[in-house]
Amino acid sequence: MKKTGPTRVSYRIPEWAAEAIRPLIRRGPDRDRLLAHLAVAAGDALERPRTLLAEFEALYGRYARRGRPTHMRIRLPRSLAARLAEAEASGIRPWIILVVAASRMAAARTEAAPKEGTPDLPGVRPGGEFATEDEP
Amino acid sequence: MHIGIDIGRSAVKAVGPRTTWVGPTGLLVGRPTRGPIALLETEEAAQTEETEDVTIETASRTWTLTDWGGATYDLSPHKTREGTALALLGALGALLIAENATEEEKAIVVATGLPAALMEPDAQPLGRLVIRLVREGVTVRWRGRTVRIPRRLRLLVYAEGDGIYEAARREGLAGTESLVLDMGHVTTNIVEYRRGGERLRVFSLPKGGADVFRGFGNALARRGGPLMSYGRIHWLVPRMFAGLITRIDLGDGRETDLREIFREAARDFFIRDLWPEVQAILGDYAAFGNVVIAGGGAEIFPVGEVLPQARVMPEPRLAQARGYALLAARYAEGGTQA
Repeated sequence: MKKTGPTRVSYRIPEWAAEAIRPLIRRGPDRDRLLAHLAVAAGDALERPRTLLAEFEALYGRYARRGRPTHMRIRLPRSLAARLAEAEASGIRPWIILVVAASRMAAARTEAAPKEGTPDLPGVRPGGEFATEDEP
Repeated sequence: MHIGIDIGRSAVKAVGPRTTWVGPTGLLVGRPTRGPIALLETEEAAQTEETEDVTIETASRTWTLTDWGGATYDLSPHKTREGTALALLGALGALLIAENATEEEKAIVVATGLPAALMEPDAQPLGRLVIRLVREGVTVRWRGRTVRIPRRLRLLVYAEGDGIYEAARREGLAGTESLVLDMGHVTTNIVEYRRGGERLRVFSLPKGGADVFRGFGNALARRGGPLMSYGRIHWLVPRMFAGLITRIDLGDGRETDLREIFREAARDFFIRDLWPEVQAILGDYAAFGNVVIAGGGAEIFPVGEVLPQARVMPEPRLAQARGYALLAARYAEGGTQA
């Protein structure tokens, strides 16, 4: 099977979203995670566009209308860029899919509360400890 | 007994096993009811016994925590002076009275916090001062009742933000990786946590509600109102929000709504001064991260407009103290001991 290479695309995107996405698209592990979420979100945009738009509205509805638009250039796998173009043709702007993908990535990063007292997750520690007696 | 005390600059908040106590932060030497200090708000004279004033007797002096306009308010982000220690001990005593704690109470574990970025250098001076005062003997009087601070006391000093993070985790609002925005009166603390409690990034911006108080006072004076000291504004604002004083006569027959001027001052300060600095620190967290907001500022600043995804803790002013109480309890159970 022929491997598809990356392509450089440019999207018109609100400044607040561009500022937030740029660091994610540059870093190695974050970029890989974002692309994975973007692939899923692009699929949702094509198959369940209303659900995706409702998700976006719930998260950023009021926020999205704020700020000036800007152009953002991103390197994306060719197949993914094609899917985003397909979604755009059906009426969903790529930046909305990008924002939803980044938001899902952040939500995945925030897992459920860990078990208390495990060596890996020790919990918050005090920076100072003082007692009136040696052993209370 | 496990107690959390948030030594705020606008109010001291203490949370115990059964009760929550919120008290004033202004400090006067002596007792205002029968000492050399004259009553500043004469209309309150008849109600003096019903105020939230707390009298603290240390080995060398008597102090009163009060919200009277003539009191001294410590607005330094460095919480290492005697006033901070007295506020902590006054709140502890008042809470013990409110809890009906007995003199034979077993060891008390108190968790408190200092501005996150200043915690490491400031923990030792504050901790040692509190312990010295307790060893010398401290008696607290509140609402006609007196309690002696027990000599078996353990004090834990956390970073401001830790309490909010702990409370948010218990509420299911924060995960292993979250960022806490603590909007205090003098400092705005930003702490990013990872691995369920490790502080990854810590910032304390010296800006907050006190700047709004000043802006509010200036705006009022510009519109023809009285020129007020910080203490008078501090006295006025809680009464304004309680609906006791809502309008002011500008002297020429015109009246203006104080709450409207305050809201404008809060919005103006937040959008122009505070938010740009916070935004620069948050980076992509502002739009996509798990941000938890608490502190009194969450009630007066339009945070929802700029951080639509962020979660604001219920009763944001008390979230920190509640979290400290949880941390004290967890510490006592041995959860965080090395």
